[in-house]
Amino acid sequence: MGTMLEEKLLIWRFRHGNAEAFERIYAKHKNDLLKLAVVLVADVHTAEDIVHDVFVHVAQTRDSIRMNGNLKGMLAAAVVNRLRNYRRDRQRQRRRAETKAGAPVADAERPEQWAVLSEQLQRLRRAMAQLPYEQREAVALHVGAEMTFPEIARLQEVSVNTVQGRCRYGLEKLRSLLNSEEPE
Amino acid sequence: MKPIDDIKAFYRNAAINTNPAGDKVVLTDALQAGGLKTEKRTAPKGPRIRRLIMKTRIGRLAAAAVLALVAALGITLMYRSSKPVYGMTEALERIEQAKTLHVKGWRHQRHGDDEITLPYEHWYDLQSGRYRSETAYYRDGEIGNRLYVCDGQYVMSEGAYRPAGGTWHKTVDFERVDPTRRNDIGWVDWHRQLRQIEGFSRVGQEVIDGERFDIWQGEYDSGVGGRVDRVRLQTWLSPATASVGRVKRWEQQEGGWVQTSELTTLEHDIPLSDALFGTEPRPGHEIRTPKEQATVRVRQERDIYKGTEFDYAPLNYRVRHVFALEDGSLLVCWQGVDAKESRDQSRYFKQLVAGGDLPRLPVELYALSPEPNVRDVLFVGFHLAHTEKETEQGRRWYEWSLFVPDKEPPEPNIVLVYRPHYRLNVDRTDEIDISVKQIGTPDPQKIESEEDFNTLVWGAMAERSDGRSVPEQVTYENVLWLADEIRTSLAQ
Repeated sequence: MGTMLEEKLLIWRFRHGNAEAFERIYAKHKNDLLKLAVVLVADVHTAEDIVHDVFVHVAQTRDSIRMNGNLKGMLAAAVVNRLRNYRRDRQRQRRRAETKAGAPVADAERPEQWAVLSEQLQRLRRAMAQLPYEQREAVALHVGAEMTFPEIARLQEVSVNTVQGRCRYGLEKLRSLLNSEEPE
Repeated sequence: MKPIDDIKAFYRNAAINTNPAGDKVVLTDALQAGGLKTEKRTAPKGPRIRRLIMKTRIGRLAAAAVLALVAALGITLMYRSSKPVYGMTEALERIEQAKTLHVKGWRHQRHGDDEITLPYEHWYDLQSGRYRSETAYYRDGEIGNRLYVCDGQYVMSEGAYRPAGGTWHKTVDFERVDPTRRNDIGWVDWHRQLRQIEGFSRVGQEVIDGERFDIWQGEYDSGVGGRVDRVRLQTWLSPATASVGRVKRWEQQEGGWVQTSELTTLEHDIPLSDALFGTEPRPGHEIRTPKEQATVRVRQERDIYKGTEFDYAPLNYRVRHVFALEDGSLLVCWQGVDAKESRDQSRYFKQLVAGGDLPRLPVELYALSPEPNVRDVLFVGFHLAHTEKETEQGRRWYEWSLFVPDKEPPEPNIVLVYRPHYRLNVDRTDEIDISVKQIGTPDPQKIESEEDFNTLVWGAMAERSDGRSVPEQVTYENVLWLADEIRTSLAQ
C-alpha cells in the first residue's frame, strides 16, 4: 500500500476517533513540528507550547481535517499561524509592560524540557534567529516542511516571487552565518 | 563555502528528539481534549425507513416512488420525535406494499403580484412501471397542463410552444423507456427536498370526513449551497387507521410563512383504469416525435473546456457518471482541467495504481458528501482507472474513481445530491477561480449485479474511451474487492 494511501487511511481512522491513529500521526510529525517551531521562535519552551497546542487543537477539530489534504503542510501551517498569534501577543504585552514598568516581560523558566536539540540544530537555531522573521518562516516552510512556493505564498499572503526571494536571500544569509561559525 | 544545497541538507539533518515524559503529557492532553478513545466508534444505525423499504423488493420504480412519498409525508423523522408514535409503521407498510398509488394536490406560485394555484395529480401502477402525471404550469401569463404518460415501454410527453407573436401549438413527443435510468421517474423529484425533515411534534388534531387526524409539524432547511429555504411541514395522520389525510408545506419568506403546496389526497391500492396509462395522443396535438422514431433520451453534455475561456476562470471540473455500488461505495467518472495549461493531460495519469491516490489534476475531486447528510458521511476518493478519447473538440481524459464512505452511507434513493469537494492543484498565483461549481453530481445509477456493472459501467467507460475499450482490471468483482479492501483497512 502506498505511503499516501496509508496516511489517508490513518487520517480516516483518526477522524473516526481512533486514538492509536492519532498517536501514529503524533509520532510521525512531532519532531518536524518541534523543529519548525524551534527555528522560528528560538525559545524552546515557547516552541514546545505551540506544538503542544497544535496537537490538542487537531485532536479537538479532527472532523475538519481534509482526507486528501497535505497533513504535514496543514500541521506546519497551524504551527506558523499560532506562532504569529504568539508573536503579536508578545509584542502587545511587551509594549504594555514597557509602558508600565519600562522593561520587557521575561518567560518563566520551566524545569523540564520536552524537546532535545542536537548540536547541529542549536547552531541552526542561532543562525535562523538572525534572519528577518518572514525570511525565516519562508526558509523553514520550504526546506523543513517541504511546502511549495505557491503554498507558502498563500500562507504568507504574498506573491510567489516574494516567497522565492525570501527563500533565496534567507538561504544565502544562512549559508554565510553557518560558514562563519563553522569550526576550522 | 557550503553551497545552498548543503545548507538545505544541513537544515534537514539537524536532529531533534523528545523525551517520553513530555510525549506522554502532550498525548494525554490531546486525547482528552479530543475525546479520543482506543475503542472504535460504532457507526450510527441507518434510518428505519431504509430497512423497511429495502427488506422487500417491490420493484425499482416502486421503491423510488415510495421513498419520495414517505419523505414527503415527513414520516422518517417522526420516529425520532419524543412524542408517542403510533400508526407510523402501519402507514409505512401500507405505502411499501401498495400496488397502486394516487396522489393529488396543488402547488402555489407567486409571479410578481400574481398568486397562482397550480394543481397536480399522479397515478402510479407500481407493479408494471406505468405512470401518469398531470401538472399545471404557468407561463407567459397563461396556465397550461403538462402531461406525462408511461405505458411501460414509451413515455409520452405533451407540451406546447408559441412562436413569437403566434398562438400556442400543442405537441406530443415520445421517447423510449430507458431501462438503465432507474431513478428517472421525473415528477417525484420535487419531493426530494423534503427528505431532511427533523424534529416533528404533534401540534393539534382535526376531523376530516369523520376521521380524527393528529397534526404533526416540523421545520427544516431545504436545498443546498446558497439556495436554502426554511420549510415548515404539517402532516395529518390518523392514529386509528394510520392513513394520511393531508400534507401542507410552507416556506419562510420576508413577509413570514407562505404556503407553497398541499397534498390533499393520498390513496393506495385503488383500482386504476388502463385508460389512464394509454399513450394515444389526444386530438389537436402535433406529433413531433412519433413512437416509430422514439429513442432513449440522450443527455446533452458540454465540453469540459466550455466556460474556461475567461482568464479569471480557466479551471473547470465535471462529474460525468455516478454509479452506486451495492456496498455503498460510488464509482464516479470526472474530469478536471486548467485551460491555461497544456491540454495533454497524460502526465497526470502516470504511475497511478488502483486503490491509490487520485491524479493531481488541476481541479481534483477528492470527496463527495451526500445531501442531506444527517450522519456526517464523507465519500473519499481513490483512483480506479482512467480512459481517454479523441473527441471533436480534442483529446479528453477521464478519471474513474472509487469513492468509499467513511461511515454507513445513506441509501442512494434518499440522497438529494452528492456534493463534490474539490481542491485546486495549480502552481501559479494569478487571480484564479473555477468556472463551474456544481451543486451536485448527476443521479447515481444503482449497480446491483455483475450484469448491471457490465451493462452500465462498461457501457459508460466504452463511451469515454478510444475504440470503446474498457480497462481490463475494472470488473465487478475487482471493484467490489477493492472497495472492501479499503473498508477493511479502515476498520482495522
